[in-house]
Amino acid sequence: MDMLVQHVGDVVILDVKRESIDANEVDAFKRDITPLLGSNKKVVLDFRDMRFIDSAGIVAILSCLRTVASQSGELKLSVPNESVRSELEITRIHRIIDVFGSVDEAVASFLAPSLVASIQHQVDH
Amino acid sequence: MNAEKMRVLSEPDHRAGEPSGDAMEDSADISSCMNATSSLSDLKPIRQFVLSFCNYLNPPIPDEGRYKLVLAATEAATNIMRHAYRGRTGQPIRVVAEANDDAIRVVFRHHGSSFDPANAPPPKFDGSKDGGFGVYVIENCVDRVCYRSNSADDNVIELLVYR
Repeated sequence: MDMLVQHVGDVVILDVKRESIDANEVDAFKRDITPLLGSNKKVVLDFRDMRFIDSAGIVAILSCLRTVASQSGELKLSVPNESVRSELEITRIHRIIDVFGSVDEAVASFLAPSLVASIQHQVDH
Repeated sequence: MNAEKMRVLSEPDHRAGEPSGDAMEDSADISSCMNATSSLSDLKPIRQFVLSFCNYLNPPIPDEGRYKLVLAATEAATNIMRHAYRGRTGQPIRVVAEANDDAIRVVFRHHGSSFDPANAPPPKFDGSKDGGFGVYVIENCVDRVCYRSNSADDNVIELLVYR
């Protein structure tokens, strides 16, 4: 399995240990990732090793999005590679999934609202 | 880059045996070719072939342009494998890359069925529908796309980017 799972608080980070996803590789990617999406509400797909992704990979990401959303969860992407990010923009994926340049940014985007709420709670009381 | 689609169907091939038939072939400063098959496992070698060709060029093409050409080539090859050959593996695909001072061109020649991009369903960008991205990606990654059918079993997809 080309996947590494980490947890930061209630955020699950799925480190996709692949350099590419094309039509030939997409089934293996889906086979690896689908069981890991589970019932997690806050999921980051970490594409730090990704150098190439084609439309088959885009469709697989959309499938992940639907799976997570069907459980009222939220999916975010960490995509450091600028070329891969540019493709996400071509296919306008970045309009329906938050795309960040690092895992830290993606995780922070999940944590920040709760931290703000926590601080607000302390201020109120 | 916005792709200018050129669809010339049933055009006679004046260079029988050659991978394509327009002016650039005569003026190409550098060219390279590979024989691939319609097996999906050949996508990576095709990608590496186009990438190696781009890396060989001097002056080099920018990273983004190189990525987009490799992406468009992968999508074109996938369409040939999945649609032109309808998933039949082991069928021939000839890939020719050539360049001059003005442009880079990647040509795919195959014996599958012809392809009319006008019949491809447009993608939905709201995530509600899979598919339809391949043709869209190609058109948005290169300057010109040409789908040409020389005969029922002699079809060509050409991708061209200006330098």
